[in-house]
Amino acid sequence: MATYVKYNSAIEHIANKVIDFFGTTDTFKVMLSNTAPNVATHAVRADAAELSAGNGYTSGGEDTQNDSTRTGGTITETAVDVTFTASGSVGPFRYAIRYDDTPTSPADPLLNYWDYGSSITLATGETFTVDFGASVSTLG
Amino acid sequence: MAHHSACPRVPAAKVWRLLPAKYIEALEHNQQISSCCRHPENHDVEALYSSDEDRAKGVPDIYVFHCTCGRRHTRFCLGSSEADIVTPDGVAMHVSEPRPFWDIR
Repeated sequence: MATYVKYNSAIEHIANKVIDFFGTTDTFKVMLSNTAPNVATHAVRADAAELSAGNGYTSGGEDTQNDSTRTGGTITETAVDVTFTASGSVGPFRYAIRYDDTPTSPADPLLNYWDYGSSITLATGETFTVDFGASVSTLG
Repeated sequence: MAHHSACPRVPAAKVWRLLPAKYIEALEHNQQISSCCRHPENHDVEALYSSDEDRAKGVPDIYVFHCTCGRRHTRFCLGSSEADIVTPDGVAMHVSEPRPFWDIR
């Protein structure tokens, strides 16, 4: 699977209760970008260069319908696959970036990103599905 | 970096039993795409690795469905294939979503 790369600030935001990582209280979204993330200096969504909205891509990306449960001392995070459908040209983009859309101070703290490996542009009628599999991540 | 081929491009019908239902349903149920694209049984499908690291693991993380019209439908697999979760009813269960792999000779 593509490597889960966390932003440095994410663990601090979790520890400071900015990000509620457990359950469904907070809404995690996935957005697209063609600019290489900087895990050291990017902390909130505004720091990341998101894809321009339009042609089927909505600013802020899509809700992942995140949830998490605990088994023993491990939290397992799950999410529902997200499909971006192009109604015109969408992209180029290379990175799927996840953030918490619920907090307001700071607004939209970043969680992590995945690198698709190369830039992709969707033509009209094409789709790009972010598949979160059986689990997105574990904590503990 | 360029993607690496994991599984050759083949007619989806040839590996149909290997493809998870959600790969098929994501196309069949998408009303925003063309009619031909909603019939993945007529598509070709290939699997790729997004990076050298994924190629070393031997598990594809990209699947591309090629429609007869020329459009492509890409699935980028990010999460783990296996997980232990607890359902809303409090039942512990193991969830498995293995990635399909084929080698047509």
